[in-house]
Amino acid sequence: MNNEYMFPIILSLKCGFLSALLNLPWGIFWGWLLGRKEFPGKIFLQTLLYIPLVLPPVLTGYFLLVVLSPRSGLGKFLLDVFAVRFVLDWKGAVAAAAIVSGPFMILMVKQAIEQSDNRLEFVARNLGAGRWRTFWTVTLPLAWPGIVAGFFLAFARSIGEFGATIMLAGNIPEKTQTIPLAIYSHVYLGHEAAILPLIAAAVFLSYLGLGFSNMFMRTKKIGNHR
Amino acid sequence: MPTILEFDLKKKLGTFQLDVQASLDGGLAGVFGRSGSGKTTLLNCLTGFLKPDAGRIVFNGTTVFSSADRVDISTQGRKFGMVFQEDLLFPHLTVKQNIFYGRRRRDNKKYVKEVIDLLALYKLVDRYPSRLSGGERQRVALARVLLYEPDVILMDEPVSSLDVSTRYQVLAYIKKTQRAFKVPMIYVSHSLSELLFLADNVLVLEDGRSTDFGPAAKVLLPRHEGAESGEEVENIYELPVLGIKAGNAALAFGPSQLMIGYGQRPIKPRVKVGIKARDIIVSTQAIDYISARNIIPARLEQAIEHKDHYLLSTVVGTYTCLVEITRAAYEDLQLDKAKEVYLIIKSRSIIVWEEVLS
Amino acid sequence: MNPLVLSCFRSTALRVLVGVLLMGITGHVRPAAAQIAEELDVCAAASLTDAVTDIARVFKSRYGTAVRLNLAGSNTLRIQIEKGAPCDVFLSADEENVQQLVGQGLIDAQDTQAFLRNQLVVVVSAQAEGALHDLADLEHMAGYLSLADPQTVPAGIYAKQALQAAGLWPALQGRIAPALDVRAALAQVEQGVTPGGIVYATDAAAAKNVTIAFVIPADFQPDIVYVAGVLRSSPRRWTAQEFLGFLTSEQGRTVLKQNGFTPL
Repeated sequence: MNNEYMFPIILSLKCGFLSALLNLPWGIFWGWLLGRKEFPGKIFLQTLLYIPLVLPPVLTGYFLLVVLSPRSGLGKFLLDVFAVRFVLDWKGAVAAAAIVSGPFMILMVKQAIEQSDNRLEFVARNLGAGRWRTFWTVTLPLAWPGIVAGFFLAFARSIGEFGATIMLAGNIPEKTQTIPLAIYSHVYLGHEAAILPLIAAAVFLSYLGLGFSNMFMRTKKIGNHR
Repeated sequence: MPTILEFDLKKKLGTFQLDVQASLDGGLAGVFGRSGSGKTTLLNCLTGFLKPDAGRIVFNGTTVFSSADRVDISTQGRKFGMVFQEDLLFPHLTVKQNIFYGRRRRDNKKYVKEVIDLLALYKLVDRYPSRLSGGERQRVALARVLLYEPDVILMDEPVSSLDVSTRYQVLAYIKKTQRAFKVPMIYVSHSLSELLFLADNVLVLEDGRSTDFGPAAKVLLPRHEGAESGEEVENIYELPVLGIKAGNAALAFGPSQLMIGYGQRPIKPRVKVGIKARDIIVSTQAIDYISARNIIPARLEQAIEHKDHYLLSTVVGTYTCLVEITRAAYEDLQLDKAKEVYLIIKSRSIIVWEEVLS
Repeated sequence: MNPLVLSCFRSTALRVLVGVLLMGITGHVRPAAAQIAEELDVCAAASLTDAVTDIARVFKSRYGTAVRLNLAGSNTLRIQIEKGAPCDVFLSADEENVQQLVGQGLIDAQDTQAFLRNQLVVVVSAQAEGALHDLADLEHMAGYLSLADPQTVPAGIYAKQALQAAGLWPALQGRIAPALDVRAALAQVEQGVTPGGIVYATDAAAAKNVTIAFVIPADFQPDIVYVAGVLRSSPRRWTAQEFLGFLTSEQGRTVLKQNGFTPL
């Protein structure tokens, strides 16, 4: 297999899974909060969390660049204490993918939580279960299909991420070049021969991710007999 | 019997004002109220969902709420169990996992077995709620609450969403459970017949005020004859009187007729009657040359197996009739294969109540 | 033959002769009813961004033509033209891209002209802490070096040539952050994404937050020549050629010099 396109494919897979994984706790927390609770300012919070959906990805990437570059406080801290760098690094590609696909996860989890019967949580508490136990044994299992759907949707979105990635992680071949970046580079720099396997991979992975996501979205609630 | 639940509370919701006080002993207490009478508000105050404006609630000697002393134990802290109109079983857990969810002790295996036996759940333990009938699900809900071993079990119209033929089955189970395990239960409902069947004492709610409290039959029926409170009468009907002759009345009972001894009673258009399940005889054939006056064709819908007897649910027209027969009889008659049966009832076995309540 | 007829013939012949000579000298024929076009599409190398914007402005004030600019790496522009992008004038940062189009018959060899020189410098961001004094320092610099893509973009190819000439390419090869054009490389340095980069001297002047660390020594400077070409398919060839003429005129050269270029 030609290394020219194996690297972007493997990197995109890595970014996709890692970003979806990172979004699990983030998405579950906010999805649960937005799906279950009412509080003043909820709309503002929700809009803020959903912003990466509509913001031009290059802008998201630019903001990430400003926040995470070694010049900023946060970037310097991460570099000095954890030796983690995002700028021109594959971890930046993961970060970019995670930020833009976050809202998808939140959305799916929120929907699943809203659709689940919150009286079951009351029943659990009534039977003596504390908050944590209720969450783990009732809320989470009932929302599970939504969570998995969110995971795959986030994965699919991450595969296609371009603008934020090129801003933050750059377009360094064999280091930060994901599938979309590779396709773009090859076309606009003149190596058109290499893009066919990349296009195939991109379409295949996106389709797979979206397909799994749909599968879990349409799964009836577990044990739904009504 | 010890006082299990004591409350004295006031709550205002919009234009509605709840103002009730009662002291309920153990056993099965009922709360009767039509919709809008405040029974749901009362329940919510007892469970802790709503906070009364003023008053006191005592569960089994523990004050869970007192406005004077600023006590307000959270819902979780009040050790009550609840059975709802919808079973609210955890759909992702098996029957076994459901009923064990609230179980706190590990050393009560005997009790667990008794509960499962009494509620006839042993064949269902590994199934998921989606594969159970409505009546089965409520039995599981009841078992779940029993295994939590609460101080009090509150029931909010637990059978109203079940179809008619299942309702009385479940009621019978509730009663049996209460008698066997002696857990204090409070049954809230708008159905007279349910409360008549179940409750020892009943609190009547009207427009947010408690207007009466006392033994079920005494409170719910102005006068009664023939049935003492506390006895089980599984089948209760209000039937139109078709005609009276020589001291006997013929009542329309679905497509058939029911003959009762009427005596010198004043003539009424409708009568309320009750028949105990064990007073009914079942036959698979129409019988002549028999002293019983009532031989009523019925359709056998369901048979629930118990340790030493079967409870049959039969249907006459639109009415459900519960019949208790021995296990041996069930097997001899091969009732598992029967669809049409005949119910044989002595006129003398039919309990007649005077007043007809609307 | 009638002498009067002969004399008329001779005048026509003379006119034709003059016309042919003129064609040879100026290279084009002014159509009988030629008018300057209202619009002109110019594809220019990214490094010419500021310069060609100024040129366009002056051209418009003089001729009234609105010049539409398409700015990108010269190779990207070439690909776009090959794929049929509408373009009247192509200003490339190297000869290679223009020659490729000539080879494909898209530009007439006669319609090309070299018009500019440039040179490479090493830039660092204005807030940079370490100092780079010469090419050897690049080896010790931590982090990546921003270049336009050294495989395909002229600015990158030139930079690679310079590094190869200095013997530093093997060492630095793995630490290049390739950008899609020279201005993108410049932006990376400006934002501190990379500590340093190699761009044209004219680019460094255009960026606010960037300073020139040093000019690449003459020994290693590649031969940077910008070439212009008029597209055969251009519907406004006459105007395009006027534009080219303006580029190489005194006024045009002044504008280019003001932007730091060295006109030929």
